Amino acid sequence: MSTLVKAQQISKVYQTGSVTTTALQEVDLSVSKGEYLSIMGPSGSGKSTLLSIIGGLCQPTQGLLEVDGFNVYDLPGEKLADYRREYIGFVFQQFQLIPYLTALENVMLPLVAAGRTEKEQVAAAIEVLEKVGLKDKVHRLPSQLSGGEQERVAISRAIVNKPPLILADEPTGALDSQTTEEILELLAQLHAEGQTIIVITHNPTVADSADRVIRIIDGKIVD
Amino acid sequence: MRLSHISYSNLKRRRGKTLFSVASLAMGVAVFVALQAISGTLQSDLAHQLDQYGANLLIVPKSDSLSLSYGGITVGQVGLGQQQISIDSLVKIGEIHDADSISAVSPKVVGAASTQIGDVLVVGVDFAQEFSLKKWWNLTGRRPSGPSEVILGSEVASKLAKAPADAFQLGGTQVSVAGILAETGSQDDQAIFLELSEAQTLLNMPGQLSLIEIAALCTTCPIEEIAAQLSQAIPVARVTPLKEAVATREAMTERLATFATAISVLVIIISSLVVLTTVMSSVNDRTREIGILRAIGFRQSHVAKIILIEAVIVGLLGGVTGTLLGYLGYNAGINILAADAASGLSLELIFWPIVVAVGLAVFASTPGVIKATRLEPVEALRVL
Repeated sequence: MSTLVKAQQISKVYQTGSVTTTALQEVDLSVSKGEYLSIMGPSGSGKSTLLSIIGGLCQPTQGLLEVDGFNVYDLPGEKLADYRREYIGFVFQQFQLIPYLTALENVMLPLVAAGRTEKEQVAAAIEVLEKVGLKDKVHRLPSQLSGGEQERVAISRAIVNKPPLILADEPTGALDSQTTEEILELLAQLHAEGQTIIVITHNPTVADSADRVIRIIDGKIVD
Repeated sequence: MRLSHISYSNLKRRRGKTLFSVASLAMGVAVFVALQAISGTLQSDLAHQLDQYGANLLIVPKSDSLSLSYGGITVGQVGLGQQQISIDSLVKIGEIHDADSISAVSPKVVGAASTQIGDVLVVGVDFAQEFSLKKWWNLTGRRPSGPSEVILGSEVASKLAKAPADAFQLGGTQVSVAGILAETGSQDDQAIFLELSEAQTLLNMPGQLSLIEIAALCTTCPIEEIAAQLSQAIPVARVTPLKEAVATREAMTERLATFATAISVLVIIISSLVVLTTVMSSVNDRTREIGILRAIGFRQSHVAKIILIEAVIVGLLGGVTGTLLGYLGYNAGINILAADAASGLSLELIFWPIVVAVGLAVFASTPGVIKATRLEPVEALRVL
């Protein structure tokens, strides 16, 4: 399989006043198209920093990140926003839905930014919400949905633009075990359809559902 | 879904803050509209009253001999007993282009006539016009009702020792006192006023006038223009606009306008600061939300548009509400002030405040927009 993500010698150093914190040290990582990768590690190990660098949210202090063959951080200005919209589907901790928009509207958001017509937005959003089993709740606000349902909306929003890569940060961190299983099934289904997924988790069950698991400790990949 | 839907939904969710911003802006606009409208009405009312308050044009004969001062105002070179203005000039005054702007025309003959105490200044007037022109005249007794009845200035009355209904000899003619003027502080205190035609006979000036005082309603027309038209109509006369009265009127109305504008600007600035603070607070509250939008691919320009659309909606609501409240405030204010001049409200005073309210809301939102667009998504999210 061809490589989708290629990180070379990625380091990230945070400077807060006179305090220097090294979040990542010369990390090398390669993710193939269609791969389901899980990243584990204790809090503060740098796994979230790695995810944000791959997602175009945080420029590394040094190193090279190539996605689909181009250097992400060579992109000028607002092109980085376009990269996030076209290449990445984020699933955040705590769902991170916009509270005053309905499930349908939350899912439509990436398509709004992409400049799709209203008709296209609704059709695409309904399609993915049906896929995650929320057809009957599309007009509900996040506050009217359960945790599992909100997570499904978050996943729908991540995939509605059909991005090559899904980045999920503790996608089941706020869910009970039964809902966790349902979400894992959903991710597995997406993976089966050829979706490339990178998941950060503390949960071994979640990690085990992936094709490959890597561990990060103190900013370094240890296995 | 459009960006405007996100803006609208956010405003709807944050009803309290939205209403606060709208109310603040509406208050500023309302004060602006009410003050400007009241000021406009009062200016118009004041101008109207000042226009009616005494003469603002004098017509005197062209002459190069004696100087004549009347009413404390030097009106030009007039040769008493020499060239006079014909009474036919009154017809010509009524024929000038801006004749409609003339509220009173008071022709006069001025001369001296003998009395028991010696020569006294005699002024022949058209009493109806004179009373219309000199609304400040305070009369003891009554207005003259016949040709042999006179009004005495306070000083003359005192020197003649005459009271209303008394009779005395004026230039060999028997006249009776109809009324006595309260002290005016002007030359009127030293004059005897009698009917114009009677004075012309007494002073041996049949069909002649010494001067004509005119009150022109010049709220909408320049006094100089009427003066020019009168000069053209009566070539033998010199027409003098009483610039002092005009300048006084202008100074008063300007002061009123400046006061209204200063207060309006102050309130508008305060309103803008409230909107600015609310928008900044809203951006702070929405840091995470902005981070989410940026993370899923919204450009800085998308975020800016969302906040600016909110500003436009708040501005429109504040502008329209403020204009309505301003109109109500204007009505209440004008009732209290009992001004009876034409309405100071105009289409401009409805249209522009709304435009200005939107502009101010957008302007006041600019720091918030800059802050929002500069937010780094990862810092905004604080979750990755």
